[in-house]
Amino acid sequence: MNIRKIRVALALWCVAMVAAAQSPMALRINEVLTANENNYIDPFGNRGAWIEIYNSSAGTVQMAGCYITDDPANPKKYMISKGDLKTKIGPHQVVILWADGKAHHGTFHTNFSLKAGEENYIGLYDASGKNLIDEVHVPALAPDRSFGFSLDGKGERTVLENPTPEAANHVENTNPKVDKFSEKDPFGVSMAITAMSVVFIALIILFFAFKCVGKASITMSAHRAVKAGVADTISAAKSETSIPGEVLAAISMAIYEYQEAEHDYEEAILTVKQVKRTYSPWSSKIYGLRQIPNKK
Amino acid sequence: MGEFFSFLGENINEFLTYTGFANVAVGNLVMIFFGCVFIYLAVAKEFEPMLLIPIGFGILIGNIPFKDAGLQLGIYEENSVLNILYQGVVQGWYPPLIFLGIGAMTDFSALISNPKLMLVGAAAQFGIFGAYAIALAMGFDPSQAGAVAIIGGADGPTAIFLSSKLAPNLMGAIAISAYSYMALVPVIQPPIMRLLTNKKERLIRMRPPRAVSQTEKIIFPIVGLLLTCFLVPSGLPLLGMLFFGNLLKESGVTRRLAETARGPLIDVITILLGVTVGASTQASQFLTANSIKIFVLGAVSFVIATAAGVLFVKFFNLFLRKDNKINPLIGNAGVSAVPDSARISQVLGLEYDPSNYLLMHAMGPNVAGVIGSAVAAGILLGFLG
Repeated sequence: MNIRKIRVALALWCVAMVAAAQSPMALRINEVLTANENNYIDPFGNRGAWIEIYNSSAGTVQMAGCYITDDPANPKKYMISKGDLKTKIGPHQVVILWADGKAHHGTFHTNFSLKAGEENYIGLYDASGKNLIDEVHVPALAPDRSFGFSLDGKGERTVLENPTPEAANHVENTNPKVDKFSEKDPFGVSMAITAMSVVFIALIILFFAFKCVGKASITMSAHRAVKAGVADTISAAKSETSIPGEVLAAISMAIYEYQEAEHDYEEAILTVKQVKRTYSPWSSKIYGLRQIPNKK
Repeated sequence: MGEFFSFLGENINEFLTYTGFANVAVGNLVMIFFGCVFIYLAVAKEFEPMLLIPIGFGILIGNIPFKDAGLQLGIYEENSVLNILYQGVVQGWYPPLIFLGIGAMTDFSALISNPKLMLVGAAAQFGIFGAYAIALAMGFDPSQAGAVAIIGGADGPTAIFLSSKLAPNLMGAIAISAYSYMALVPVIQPPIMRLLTNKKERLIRMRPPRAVSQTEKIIFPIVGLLLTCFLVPSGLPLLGMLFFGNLLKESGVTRRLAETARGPLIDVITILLGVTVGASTQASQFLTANSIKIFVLGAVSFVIATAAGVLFVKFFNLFLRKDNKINPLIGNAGVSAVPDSARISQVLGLEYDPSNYLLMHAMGPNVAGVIGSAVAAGILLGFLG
């Protein structure tokens, strides 16, 4: 394989990695409610079934062009419109789709409706309509109960007693890490021991790595010196290659001074000679003035 | 005519309500005084002038009083010019760029030739965790304590980066404290170094570092990044940029990029960082009991870090051969105030033996301290973020 092919492959790989980081493949069907009796009301004042889509990535994902369906045999049943700005989902944010069969109400209303009190299938496909992003088989649900992830986008789906449309399924009002440290490490001893151990481990690993690299480097230099005939034996070459930098600097300086001391020809001559010049173009103001236009 | 003069008078009165004189508070004057002190220290004493001039002048900018009339003037008013520049601090993207420049200007040869000096850099991080324990005892919650404690790493960009993540409301005080004590390193460290060493130890001559090949210098940033960031991924923004900058320098084929990183880029970011951090010290936000506590903790953490570095070298010497001992005067350089703390080792070393040059040896723990404090910041961020 020539270098050009490797470069092209690398470039393609980089593009693919960047694209994957913000691709619709990060979308998840987070929560579904099929029987809406006293739950969320859409902007038209209706209560319908809804599907919550969650962006599980740390980058914004565009879901326009993706397909959502309730029929496994027809993946392209409803395309999410490309003309709506709200189809961009922020990192770890959600968007609601109303599965009410009223597509004329806009992008976020599908052309199919979910059946209350029965099992339903929902599939989310990418813009090709061939690659499945996520699917869910929703069991028959009691009114105003939803089915989804208890931790957004993660783990197993379950029936949720308290639906949370357009909000995270799991709410954290505290920082559990900080609370844990407040409770279990009030004097900071555990933190100090753990963190200092990690700092030492990191630098000890580096220490060993560079001890080995240093030894290998000295040995390789010695081998090169022997090959070049500069030294007779490896041990002699090693002692030469481990000459401290200060000694090398002193030797270099001595050689430089020695060479500079023997001059046959000087490249430049410096003299001190007084020159009297009353006018100099450098001090003339005439050149700094704008010229008067010539009359013709 | 009378109506005209009355209108004119009203206008002038209205104008006067907008002036700084009408809106000044005692806090503003106090902060302006501190700003002038910073500028004085930078100009007259040459204490970290590259930092103290922008910060000092930033304090003046941030403490010009004005009427809150929605004119988008102050640093805390959304979309004001200062607020836009301040986003680099708030979002934490100035510090990694500074680290890129530091990497491009740092020569790790001293460390590569004598890797055991890395451990001295690790030991000095005790300052961070000593300060963390004291901060908890003073009533800070763990995330605030972590943000304050990082001052002990003696690394301004790291302190700003971590405080922007863990305790954004304390960032101004933490940044000012970190940079102030970094400037005061020549005052803080020598007495501790003298106190903890005896004459015999101060006269220890270390073996000169060996010459390091370019291959080793190229391997260092790559292996350094992989080993440290696999262990502490949360240190990636700082360590990634530090080692990347160093690879630009050492690869030998990206001279222009390295020169940009260590020249114009770091200069621009230093100016923006300094002036916006200074301007963030508006008296109303800055003059609080917490700021005073942070300044006290900053001093304590520097003392602990210096002492830990020196004592660790003495302890380490117990296990080293007689001809391979380390001069404990380089222990202070484990705090990452590059290169000031290394320069102090040199000055103190020469004071006791005019032919004992410690600078190159001290640069080892000094740059290891940069790595160590970035790793420590990553750990704190991982645990408390």
